[in-house]
Amino acid sequence: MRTKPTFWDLAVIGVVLVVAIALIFVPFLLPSGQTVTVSLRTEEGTEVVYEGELSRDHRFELENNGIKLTVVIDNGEAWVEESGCADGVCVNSGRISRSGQSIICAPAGVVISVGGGGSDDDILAQ
Amino acid sequence: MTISSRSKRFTTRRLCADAALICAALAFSYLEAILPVSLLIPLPGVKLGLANLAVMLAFFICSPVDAALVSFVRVLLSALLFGSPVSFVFAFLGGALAYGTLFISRLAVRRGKLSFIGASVISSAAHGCGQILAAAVLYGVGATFYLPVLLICGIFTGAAIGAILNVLYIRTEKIINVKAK
Repeated sequence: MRTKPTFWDLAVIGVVLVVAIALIFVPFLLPSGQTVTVSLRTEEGTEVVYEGELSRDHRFELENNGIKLTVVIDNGEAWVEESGCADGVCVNSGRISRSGQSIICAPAGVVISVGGGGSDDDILAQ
Repeated sequence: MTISSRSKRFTTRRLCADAALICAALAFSYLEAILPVSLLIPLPGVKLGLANLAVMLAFFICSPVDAALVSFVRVLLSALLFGSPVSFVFAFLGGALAYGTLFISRLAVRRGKLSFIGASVISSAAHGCGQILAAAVLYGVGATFYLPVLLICGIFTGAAIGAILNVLYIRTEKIINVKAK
């Protein structure tokens, strides 16, 4: 066993870094999103609570599994402004605007995803 | 002294070593659960991966079987004690992929081509891939956009854990002194 760093350690770090940097640019290759969908994961299944145009500014609160979230859609971007979850993963996920991107709040069972299709229907359950 | 007549290879010393490593892994998991790591690393899903120290020590000092045992029991107990079914799926898939890559790096480490730093970085990267896989299964493919963040953080945390292992390995090997026959 070798317990001193080797050239191959650096090579491994380099390869992982190159792969990570390459993957960073993948979202930029995707088209801008058109719609945003907010769904809740409950014991009964998945329930879509909001679906609308990403260009339409909107702000609403959600509550699931006893956790409250404030979702904001503004200027073609969607994000979680506030969350009652312990880890704050959803808030720290930042803003999404590209087709295929999503924000997940696992404790609350909330998924906010941006899609490429168009929809004029807004369904706001809460 | 053996556990049973059918499993003579599983000596009491080896069982105790596994138990000690499981305890260490669980303690590290608990430490990461209670410490505000997010203040130090303000990125979701990023952890230091201290529990991987125990799994890698089990893998390289004892055997892959012991490492699998330490990894699985640690994931199960930490989910039961301070996690949830969802956190179990994340930790299980991350742990399984990280464990799988140890087989790949084992040969390179034994031949002296790779130190524990390289092995740990590969393992951390695989752990991140496993977590993203779990997120994709549970919440859809949108979660894959987060993979670069986990990979880059995995380089730093993996290298740190590997550097600790480089120091710990020789000392711990003398203490544990267990090899599957």
